[in-house]
Amino acid sequence: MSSTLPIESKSAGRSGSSRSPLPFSQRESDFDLVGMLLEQQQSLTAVEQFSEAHSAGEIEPSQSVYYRQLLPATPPQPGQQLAFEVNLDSCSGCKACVVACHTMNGLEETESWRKVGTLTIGATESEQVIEADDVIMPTAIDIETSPVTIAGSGIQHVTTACHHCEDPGCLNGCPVKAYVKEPVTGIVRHLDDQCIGCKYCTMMCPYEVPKYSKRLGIVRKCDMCHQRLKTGEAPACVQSCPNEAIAIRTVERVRSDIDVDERLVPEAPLSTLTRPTTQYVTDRADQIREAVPQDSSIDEVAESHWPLALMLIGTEVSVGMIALERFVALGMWLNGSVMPIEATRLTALVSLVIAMVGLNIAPLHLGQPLRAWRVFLGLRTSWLSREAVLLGKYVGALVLATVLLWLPVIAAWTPASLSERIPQWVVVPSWASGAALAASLLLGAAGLYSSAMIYIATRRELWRFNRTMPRFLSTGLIVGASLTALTVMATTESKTAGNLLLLIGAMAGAAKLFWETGLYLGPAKSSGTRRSSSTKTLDERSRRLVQTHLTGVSRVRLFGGWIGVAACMFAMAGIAVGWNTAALLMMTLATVAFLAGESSERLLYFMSVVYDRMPGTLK
Amino acid sequence: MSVDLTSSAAVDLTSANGAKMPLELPQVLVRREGAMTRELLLHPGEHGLGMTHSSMAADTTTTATCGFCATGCGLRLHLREGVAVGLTPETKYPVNLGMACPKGWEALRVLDSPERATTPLLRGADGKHQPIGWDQAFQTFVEGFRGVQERHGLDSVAFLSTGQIPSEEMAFLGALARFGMGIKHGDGNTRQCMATAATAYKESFGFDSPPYTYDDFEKSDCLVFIGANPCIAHPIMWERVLRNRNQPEIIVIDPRRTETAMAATQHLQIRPKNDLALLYAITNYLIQNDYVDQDFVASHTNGFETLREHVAAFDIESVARAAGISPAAVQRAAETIGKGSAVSLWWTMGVNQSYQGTRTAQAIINIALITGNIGRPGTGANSITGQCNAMGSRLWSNTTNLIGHHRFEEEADRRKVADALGMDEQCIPSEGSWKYDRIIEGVRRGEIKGLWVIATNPAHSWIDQSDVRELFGKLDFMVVQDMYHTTETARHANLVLPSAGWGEKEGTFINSERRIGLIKKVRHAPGEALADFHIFRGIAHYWGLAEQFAEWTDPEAVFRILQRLSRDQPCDITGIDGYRQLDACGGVQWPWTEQDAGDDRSDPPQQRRLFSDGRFFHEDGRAKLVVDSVEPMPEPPNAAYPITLLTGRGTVSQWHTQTRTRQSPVLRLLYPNEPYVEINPVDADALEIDHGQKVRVQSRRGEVIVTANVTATVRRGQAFIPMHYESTNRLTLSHFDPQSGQPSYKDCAVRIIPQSN
Repeated sequence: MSSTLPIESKSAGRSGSSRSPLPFSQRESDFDLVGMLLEQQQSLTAVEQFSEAHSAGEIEPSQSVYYRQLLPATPPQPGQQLAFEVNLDSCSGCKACVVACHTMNGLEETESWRKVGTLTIGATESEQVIEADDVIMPTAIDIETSPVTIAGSGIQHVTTACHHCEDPGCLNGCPVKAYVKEPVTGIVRHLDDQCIGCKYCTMMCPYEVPKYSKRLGIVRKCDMCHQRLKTGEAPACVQSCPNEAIAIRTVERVRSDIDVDERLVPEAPLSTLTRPTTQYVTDRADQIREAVPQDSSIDEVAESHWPLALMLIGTEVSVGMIALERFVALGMWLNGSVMPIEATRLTALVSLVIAMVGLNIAPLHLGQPLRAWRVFLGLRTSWLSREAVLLGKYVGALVLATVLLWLPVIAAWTPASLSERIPQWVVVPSWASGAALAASLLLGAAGLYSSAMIYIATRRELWRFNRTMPRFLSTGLIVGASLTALTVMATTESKTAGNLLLLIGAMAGAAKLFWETGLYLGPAKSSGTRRSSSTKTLDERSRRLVQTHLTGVSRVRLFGGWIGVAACMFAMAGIAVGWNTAALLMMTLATVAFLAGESSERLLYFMSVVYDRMPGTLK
Repeated sequence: MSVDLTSSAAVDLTSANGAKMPLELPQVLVRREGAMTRELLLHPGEHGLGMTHSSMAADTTTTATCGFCATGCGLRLHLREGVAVGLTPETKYPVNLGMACPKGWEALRVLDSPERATTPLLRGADGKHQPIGWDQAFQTFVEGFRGVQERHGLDSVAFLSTGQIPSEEMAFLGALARFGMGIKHGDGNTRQCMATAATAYKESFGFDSPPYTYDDFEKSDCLVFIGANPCIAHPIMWERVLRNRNQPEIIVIDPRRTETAMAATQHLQIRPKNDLALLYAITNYLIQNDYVDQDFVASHTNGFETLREHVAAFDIESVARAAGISPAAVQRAAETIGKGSAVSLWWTMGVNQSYQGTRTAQAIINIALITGNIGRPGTGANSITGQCNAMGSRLWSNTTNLIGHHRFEEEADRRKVADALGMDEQCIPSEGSWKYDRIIEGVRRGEIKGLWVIATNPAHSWIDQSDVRELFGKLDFMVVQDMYHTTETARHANLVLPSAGWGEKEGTFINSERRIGLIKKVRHAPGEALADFHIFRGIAHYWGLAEQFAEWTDPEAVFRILQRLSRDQPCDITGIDGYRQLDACGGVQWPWTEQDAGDDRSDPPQQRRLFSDGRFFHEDGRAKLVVDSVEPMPEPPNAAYPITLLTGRGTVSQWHTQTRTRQSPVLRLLYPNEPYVEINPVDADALEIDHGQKVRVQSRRGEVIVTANVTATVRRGQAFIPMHYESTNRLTLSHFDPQSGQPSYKDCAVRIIPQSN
């Protein structure tokens, strides 16, 4: 070691001072310094040293001194319910409520039942700024006296949780009654052990409140800490807000004064949808009304729900085939000819197979498929229950119809020993298969209607009736047409039927593509100047999502659709010149292309949806 | 169920008399109970906890001071068999009154991370860090730094420390390095946050002494916040402001329209770096309009005439015009201050991180002094501190001041310290350390060849970051001692020493209001991580200094040393009866002398402020009024770089360079994970930038790509990027306050262009 080091006390101290509990270096002794340090590090002594002062067992929550006045004194009276009240003027945006909810309720790593978004107040468009161009910066600020003021600018944080709505979308949509609106408090509670994880409530709730947990396979949501309220304790968010900005208040249960365009805060969903009970109070309502969420028009691709998309396509194609086959058969009957039984037989079988495939993919969407048998419980309010029950019955009827149609074939293959055992009085009436087919058709149509209504019922603007119903119903027509043409042409020589079906397929396919191109697949109609984000419509936002984030899917959608249309035309040409094999190949191609195109259409339906939401922040 | 409505006892708010219960379907159809429901079941928690989730159920609780910011909140740790399983804010702690910000709530969560350093790491020949044992680590440390000292001289090794470790560790580091290892230069990251306030106080009051207590937030009838955004940076202090029942005037001086500005009654949204002139203009107005407390000025201050003459040149009209605000607004603010009966003035980084920060802070102090707003409830010129133990660093780091806020230059001070430490007076150098910026400059010049970095992240946080990173490459030997092996700085290190963090060790912090609070060891440190205290012990022994540091056995022993060192200083804490008293009475504000405590060692009153007798710490007992000329910013915007870039705190949930806060999944939900720039809508329009779009921000030193956040909270010609993102300091201009050496982070010229993609 260098002798220039002044504090080198090695030799001086080697004898070991009596004050020193340790030798200098373990290199020079048996003493394990590192081991001792590690051992000391790992011994926890806080309880020994200090717990005495803290051990006194108190039952009454000590925080109660702060939240007493943030709770009502008594439970709600009949006709009333409990509700959150948020004082926007007190909220400083610290977001302690979010973390307290997460912590005190024992939620998962990234789970919290509260969320805080940010509103930007003030000029977001140049024309709103009263400023001379030659001034580099605004010239005056004073809040009240200054002639040129930007006092209206700033930011406002908005804390939001479940709004415990008067007419809860989650509850209405749930197919298994996993939501309860508590009779006394009006708290909308979720029954975790009842939930099948269908996520329909995440679509039905306009406020994005129920959140799906992959680990559990169910959704969970805010229950206003009802277990705390039961003991007179404030909810986690209420007791953790440093500024006392969140309170529980008693409100009237049925408010008649909701305006048609009322929203909790700017760009939030319309309050008429579910009648939320949360009250946002502020003395600066004028300012806040003009505010814009920080994440306004910044949209993300929504969940694809691909098992749902495939299930929808499958059932629609299946029902579409039956419908088209019956339609052609009706036409032939009116023409005095008869649809050959082989064609009907094959069509029904293929239709059944497709329906089965579709319906068997659907449960992949469920987090808790084993609980799904309770799906009938929601029949009174839930379109999802109705769809599930109707499509179930549809498949039942279709199985029956298919078996009846195939009975002669089966009979021919049945060993005599077996068929002889069937008693003589067992007769299958000739009308039975027709009736079963008709029943399938009716049930299927009702099922498809329910399918569409599932999404229409969410009252998301882009999923409204005239956007959803045409998409859902046309799929059966388009894919059904080419596929039925295939099954018919494969089994019969009826050129007219084939041509008619292919024409339907090509025309419906092309019409739908034009429609979709105008809506969201093509470029925006009016190029216009750069517009402020606040004025972008949902359609524009959805179109932008498709064209920036979903180009792959939209390409498949367009190519699939147009190839299908072209293949239908080629198939018709093939039929015309009598190249039957080529025509059949073209029909197969059309079917595959249409299937790809329509599946992509449905994925886009889910993934490109945007809707009004509570304010968020930049990601 | 019957409910007693008259009693004040807790009322079940979920049941009512005679409410009609709807028909319930049987459990087989509707499962109201089961495993998943039980997962969220709450049980009475006892210990005053209220209903508690089983994951947080405690057999006892204990309180510790939070380890993020200098508010110094008390956190109630839920202990099960001695280990903390969770925490809630401590209801009875006099600082936070049962509240905490998200960082505090997640203080334990950030300890569990795969990024924790669990063994010492040594950079191998391949440039990669390899785990080694502590014995080898200590040997490498000693050989590495001794080698540098042998080759380049004793002064060629320096250390960079922190405001994040307890006072006991800070003192150990300072004493070990400067009295033991012969290291001459060391400074802390507190240079980046509080140096200005410390320097200003020292010159004005004669000692680095924030005079206030948090109760003052509640007692003022006028609060002035200069370059401070407590809503975001100190939310629990803002809690106290909102508890003020005097309907106070709140004046905010800030170039940005922050949450605090929104909540103010007056906001002076001045152009950046117009604060000093504005404060002088207000001072001038107060003097001209006879708002001066003449008696107080005459008997307790020096320099009033100089002050009066100096500020006479600052008339409201021209100052306001230059600052881009209306003269009427300034006059109104000055009137409010003049007429207030209890005016408190508060500042934070907007003032401190400025090339004229010390003078600006002193301009604030001047206003408090001449209006007599000091020493009374609700008054004061009050610096709000940044880090949890920046105040401890100011007293105990032993860098630019001799430990205990003594003077290296004074022989009497050196002797006193040597006596208190039981060390040879010869080991105490007679001059202070270089400041942080000079140490970095020393690396550039080849004067510093070995660097020891403790619990700070200069490769992220130092101004003009790319320059610093390059300089680290010039070092012969660099040791980083940190909880996480992934910090931007640790990546440069030859040797990484794994530290135990807050919650895994003991010690004391000093918060903004001079309150000494306790932290406790309630978690097992991961792997072989050691408390910095233990690491210093190890180094002391391997360096051969065991005898010199024989008394430094555990944090409380060192606390007793600190008490001895504080004797007869303004920060005298000789009256504190050990850790148990600190724990029992919710922390103790300095000073608390033996005389104060008396023979019965009584607990101190909870809210104590300084200077109630008008006696300051200069020899003559008078405070000094300090003024200086106003300088323009060194890099004003021009045609090529037309925008002034401000930096600062982004959200409550982000802490500094985010080495800790990014470890919490729930905190990550609470702030934009991608860096962003706030830009005025008019500017955005002119630059054809859309909200949410990616933009390039370029300064003369570097470029970053960030998301545009178009918002009217910044004025035209200005932009704001939070400091928490790694790239921010690629842009900032390296310049400093000449008095304090604090970097001026909030004024550099940039241009912003939309990112074409």
